[in-house]
Amino acid sequence: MTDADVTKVRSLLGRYSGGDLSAIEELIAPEFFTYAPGADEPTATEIFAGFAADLRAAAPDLAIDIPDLAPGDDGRLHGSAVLTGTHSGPLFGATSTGRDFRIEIPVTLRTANGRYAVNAELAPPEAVAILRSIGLVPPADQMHLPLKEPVVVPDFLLKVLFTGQVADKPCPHLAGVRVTQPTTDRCDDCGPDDVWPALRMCLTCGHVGCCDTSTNKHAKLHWEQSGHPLMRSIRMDEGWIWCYEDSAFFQRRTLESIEARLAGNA
Amino acid sequence: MAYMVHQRFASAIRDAYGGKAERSEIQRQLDEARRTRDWLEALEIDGQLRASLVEPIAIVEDAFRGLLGASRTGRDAVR
Repeated sequence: MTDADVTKVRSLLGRYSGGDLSAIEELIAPEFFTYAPGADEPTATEIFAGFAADLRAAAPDLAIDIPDLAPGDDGRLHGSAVLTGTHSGPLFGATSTGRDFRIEIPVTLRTANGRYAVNAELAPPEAVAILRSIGLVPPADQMHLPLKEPVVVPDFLLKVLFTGQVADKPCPHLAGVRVTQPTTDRCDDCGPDDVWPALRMCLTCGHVGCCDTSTNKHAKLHWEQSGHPLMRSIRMDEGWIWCYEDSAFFQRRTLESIEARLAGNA
Repeated sequence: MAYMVHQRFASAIRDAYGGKAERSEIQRQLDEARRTRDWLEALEIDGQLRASLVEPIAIVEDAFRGLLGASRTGRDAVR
């Protein structure tokens, strides 16, 4: 990686900041550092292009630059991506905050056939702070309450945020899924006055419990007591899967492939 | 969602301590996490700021409590 790469990356980001969404497709390689999409999976180029369009819709004046981008001794580019703009439109179901924002994210880029694979390096508290600043996560003292807005963050982004990586982690428990659809829309383990932000369903026995952000954490308690490690989100249209034992996250398409397998076995 | 983002701390703790550490060591770590959370919760600062400080340490405490529970029940604490 050379200074020519730095110039090229900053030029493409400049085009995106000027409103040219196609610059992202020219910038981003189809694969991430640890993400090699299968034949039926979206490429990194497509994923980033989708995010870029979503961000542009939420902040039409969005500008992205990496002012300190420079080649490192490891053959990669390093710097801090700086996103600035005004949050004036909805994003992933959250209404706009109307506020100006400035978000700084450390990134590493490596070259891949003339385009670039981007890896963002955010510690969990930093990631949460960013999500809060754009209204996707409630204030810390309101986390246990039902969400006020129909926020649904794309599965892929959740996977990165929850696990710190884009590749699926191995999980032998997926083969043991027996049920996928809930039969209730409440946490029966909670009291009549309890509230929760979201519900999770056990994919072994169908138990439905309140999520880990809730006060009672009955879904997690169910895993601890039963040993059933896999749960899915049943909040709104979400269908992502979490394995408590393997700390593994799977996107909705994994649930859909399991459902197809179960239907084939029926 | 924030709990799950912080879950990366819990995953790291389970990787480091699950199945390897002595039960007394996990108990010691749990006590430290609990003490830290109690201290943070007692800070007389803005409630939202205080809650954001408590948020990650509560995950750490949960992780050690889970490991301790697993060692009690005989359940494998790690994959």
